[in-house]
Formats: sequence, structure tokens, C-alpha cells
Amino acid sequence: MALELGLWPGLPDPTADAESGRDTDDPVRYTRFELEDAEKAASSIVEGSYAEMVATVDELSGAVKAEIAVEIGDRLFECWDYSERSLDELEEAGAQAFENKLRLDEIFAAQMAPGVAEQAVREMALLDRDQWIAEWIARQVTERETKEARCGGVEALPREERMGAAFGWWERAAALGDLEAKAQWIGMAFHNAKPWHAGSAVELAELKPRVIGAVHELLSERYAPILLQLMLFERQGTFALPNPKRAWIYGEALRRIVERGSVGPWLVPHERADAELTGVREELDRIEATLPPAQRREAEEWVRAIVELPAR
Amino acid sequence: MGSGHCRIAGKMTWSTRRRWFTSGVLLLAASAGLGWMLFEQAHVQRAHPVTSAGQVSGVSASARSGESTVGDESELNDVRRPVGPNVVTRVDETAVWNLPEDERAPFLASLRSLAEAGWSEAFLALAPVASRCILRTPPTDALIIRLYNPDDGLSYRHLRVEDESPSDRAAMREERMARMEREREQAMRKRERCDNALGDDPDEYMQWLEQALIQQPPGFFVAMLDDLRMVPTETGWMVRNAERLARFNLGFLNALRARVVAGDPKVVGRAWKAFAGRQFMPEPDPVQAWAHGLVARRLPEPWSEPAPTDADYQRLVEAGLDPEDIGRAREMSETLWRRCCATSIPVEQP
Repeated sequence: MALELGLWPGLPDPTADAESGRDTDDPVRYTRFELEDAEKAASSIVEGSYAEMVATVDELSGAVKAEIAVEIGDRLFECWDYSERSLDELEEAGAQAFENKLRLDEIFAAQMAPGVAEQAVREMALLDRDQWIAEWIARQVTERETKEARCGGVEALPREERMGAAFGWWERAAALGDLEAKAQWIGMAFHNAKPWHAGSAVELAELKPRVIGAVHELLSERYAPILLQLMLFERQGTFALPNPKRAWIYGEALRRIVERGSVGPWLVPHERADAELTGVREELDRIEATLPPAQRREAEEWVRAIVELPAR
Repeated sequence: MGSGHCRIAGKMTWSTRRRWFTSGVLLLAASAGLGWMLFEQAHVQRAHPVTSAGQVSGVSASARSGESTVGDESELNDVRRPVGPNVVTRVDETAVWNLPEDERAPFLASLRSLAEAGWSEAFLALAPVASRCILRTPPTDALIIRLYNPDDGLSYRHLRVEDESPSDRAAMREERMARMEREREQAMRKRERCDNALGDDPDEYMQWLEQALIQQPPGFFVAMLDDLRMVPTETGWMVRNAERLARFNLGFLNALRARVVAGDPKVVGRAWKAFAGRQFMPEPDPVQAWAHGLVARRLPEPWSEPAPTDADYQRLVEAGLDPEDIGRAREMSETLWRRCCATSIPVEQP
């Protein structure tokens, strides 16, 4: 059986030297005591702000448990636009936000009633400008206060560097063996390499075998959310030309695995199960409607094989 | 697949083209057979296949980039594979790849056939369209209906008006229907264009790029340096072709350096661009960029026109060019100038 041999539709074989994470730049190997300290700290620091979490990790000479590294990465992701702007800066940003809103309103108005509506929208909006900006600033302040407990300290990193830093923490967690972090690393790896520059080709070429290796590793661990990533890869044509049939196979297999719950060999993290399938069901139905009967039958066999695949 | 043009055999005249535009596909289909008998055979003749990877063809080596050769048969027969008879190669004595960009649309299928057969000039003319088709796949009808159908199109879900009158609603619906039709027509035209320019295998574009690097047709370096569309940067395409593209980038930079040292002024004037950004390199090399920029500035008009401006210089400083680097760049530029241009380019020394 192809799947048992590690042959997945559309996914290249793992190469011999594929790794699931980059070698850490930090050559330090931690002592058992340091790791115990890290473990003790782990339960408490996830409640702290970004700054507190990073400070604790620093105090532990960089020793960090995988779930803390994931949490720090997630926190940066969550707080990528967090800002501790002064009131003056907020006023300036509010005026800009008002202009942006006005332009958007004009576009909507033009869609609904071309010609006359844009001017009317602008005139009406300008009457309420000051009020709108004041409310916008109030919202920002409230939001900042709410987020401060989680995002405090994020401003030490420039906004454009936060996603890259988040990726670094996931990569670190992935290297420590955390499955969720590995899945996140796989999902962000190519994006993080900035594929919109042709000069990134070298980095992409180096990443490819590592990503493929990590995907195989998660498949062999039967970590179900990776099937969604495979569906996305198939839709985008990451390893081979885009293939709706294979996208359907992976998406449909995930749908059935999640619907079966914790029965069977596949790991389905509870908190992610529903989130993973948001929007997927609709997409699967659309793809299914386009598959010719023969392809549909073949795809169905693959889906059954994936769902019933025994544990490693 | 493809437009009616790829059925036309032989040489087309301007009057033929006008007739095509006005009388449509039926007339064309009827005249195709007659055309084959009346017009000359396609000007693309049997040729040897491309065999020498990494070597510049005799044609291209002799041609200075940017100097367009208008389909000289003796030159074109050197290294290309034969193409079928149903390919338009010339329009009123002008090679089809030398037509202005806005007049190439009816000949995209022919340009693709020529590119597939190893005619890199055709690829250069095709690339601006084909690479865009990779970057943004034309939407399907199903997607357009999901986005723009007047009743619950995704584009309108955020638009809710509480107190609209029935007549407002009717007018709005009509406007939305018209918009959906416009979008569908546009998408259909784009699908046809992409089908002609690219076919169903976008990865073939990578092969055309490699082929062009081997052949270095006139205008290759200029197009690669001036037009960001030449290399598609769609994530899927980039990842699938990453290894080949990485090799291509390396090969391109080597070939570029060779062309600079050979003193091709059009290339010397803009080579700095290759080192200033991440178009061919993982990271910019501001020292190399500035060294090449200084050489470009010493060229006479019009070759110095693409030389870096003060704003470009500012960007290089921001990319990491410090005073010490500027000194190094100046020394490098002197060496480069002596090698590439001091004797071969007629210009007064500054």
C-alpha cells in the first residue's frame, strides 16, 4: 500500500538529509537542572506579557520548552500590529484612518450608485470627522489597554520584523519536537523566505527538502492538521502543478478524521479541530462538484485509505 | 486552443490584419486554406536544435544587446528548432516579436510556438504577458459569480442599506448584473490571452528563461534588468522551480558580468540594478551596485540614462553602504572602467 510506504499523493519523497528544523545558532546544550527550571517556569510565564516571557527565557540562559517557544511565536503573531503610540501620534494616525475610511466609503458608494453618491458620502462624512477621529482614538486606547497585558514589550521589535521573529520562535519549538510548532513552521516557511523576490530562489530551494521532511514527519506522527496544509499546497501548486483532485483528497480526509473525533490513529488537537475546517467544507463541496466520476471514485479510495491508515 | 491566427500560414500584411479584425473568425477559417496556397511559406525554416548549454550562440554573441535585428533569416537559422507551418512569424516584414507590445495580442500563440521551438526573441516578447498569467491566474466564471452575483456576491455582503426604495434596489441590481458581465468578459479575454501565451504548463516558462540565458538574444539583458515582470514571483511557481531559478540567477549574474566586461554600453549602464536589489541575489550587494553605478555614470548619453539617481544612491546607503564601502566601490569602479569601457567606448574621461 502506497501510504504505508510513505508515498503520499503529490508529495515528494523525503530526502535523506531532510531536517525538520534549522540547526540552532546557539550551540549551548542545557543541563538537566536548567531544563527543570524551564519546565517550572513554563506553567507560569504563559500568563505574562510578551516582554515577561522573553525576560524569563533570557534568565534561564535561553533554555525554553517547546510550548513556551510556540506561545512566544504566537504572541508575536497576535501582536504584530500592537502599538504604544502617544496621544499625538494617535491623533495623526486617526486622521489618516479617517482618510482611508473615506476612500473606502467612496468606493462602496460608487458600487451602489455610481456618480452622485461619492460626493454625498464625502460631504456627509466630513461633517462628523472630529467625532469619528475621537471615537477611533478612544477605541485604540481601550484596545491597547486590553492588549497590553499580552503584548507589552512587543514594541521593542519593529513591526516589519515581528512576523520573522515569530517564525524564529516556531522554528525553535519545531526543533524541540513540538508538533503544532512544526505545522506552523511548515505553513509559514515559504512565506517567510519572501518568495516575491526572485533572489529568494536559493533560500526556497534549501527550504524545500526540509519542509517536505517535516511534512512526512507529521504524517508519520498522524498529526491531522497537516492534511489541511497539504490541501493548501495542492491548491497553490507548491510541489507540483495545482491539482484539485489531490486538494480534495487531503481536505476530505481531514474533514472525516475531525468528524470521527478522537477515534482512530490520527491526532486531532481539540482546540484546533473546528478552526481547521472553517471554510474548508464549502471549498471541498465546490471541488467535489467539478471532479469527473472516475476521478471522484479514485479520490474517494485515497480518502478512505488515509482515514483508515493505521498508527505508525 | 489558441486564436485563429495560429491557423494562418505564411506572411501577413497589414491589410490582412485589418481584415482579420473586421471580418472575424469565420472569414479567417475560410481563408486559412487559401492563404496557405497564396502566401509564402512561414519564414521560420528548419534549423538545428539547441545543443550547447551555457554557451552563447554565434548570433547573440555578435549582437550587442538591445539592437533589434528584424528577423534576419541567416541569423535566425543558427540554433533553433523548426516550428510548424501554422505560425505567424512576420507582419509586414517585421518579425512578430518586434511588434510593439500593444500589437502583439493576436500573435501570442505564434510567439509561444516560437519560444517552445527555442526562439528566445519570441520569448522576450511573450514574457510580459506570460509571466503575469503565472502571477495572477485568471478567475473562473464560478469565482466571478461567487464574488459578483447581484443577490449574495461576496463583494456585496458588507453593503447593507436599510431604507432603500424598490426602485433603488432595481437600479442597484441592474448595475451589479452589468458589473458581473463585465468581469466575466474581462476574465474570458484574460483566459484566452493566457491560454495563448502560456498554455497549460506554466513551468515551461522556466525552460524559456534558461533557453534565453543560453542564447542571450538581443535585448535580453536590458529586458531582464528593466522589467520586473520577466521573472514571475508567484509562490507556487517559485517553490516548484526554486532550484532551477537559483541556478538561473547565478548564471545570469555571471553572464551579466561577462557582458559588462565586454563593454556592451546598454548593459553597462544598467548592470548596477542587478546588485541593488533581490531580483537575482538573496541579499543586495550595495558595494557592487555602487561600483557599477559609478561606471554607468561615466558613460556618454544616452547610455548613462539608466545610471543610478541620487534617490537610488540614498537607497543603497540605507541598504548598508557606509563611507568605507564607498571608497572600495570607487576603486572597484576604476578597475571596471578600465576593463570594460576606457578603450572600447568613445567617451571623454571625466
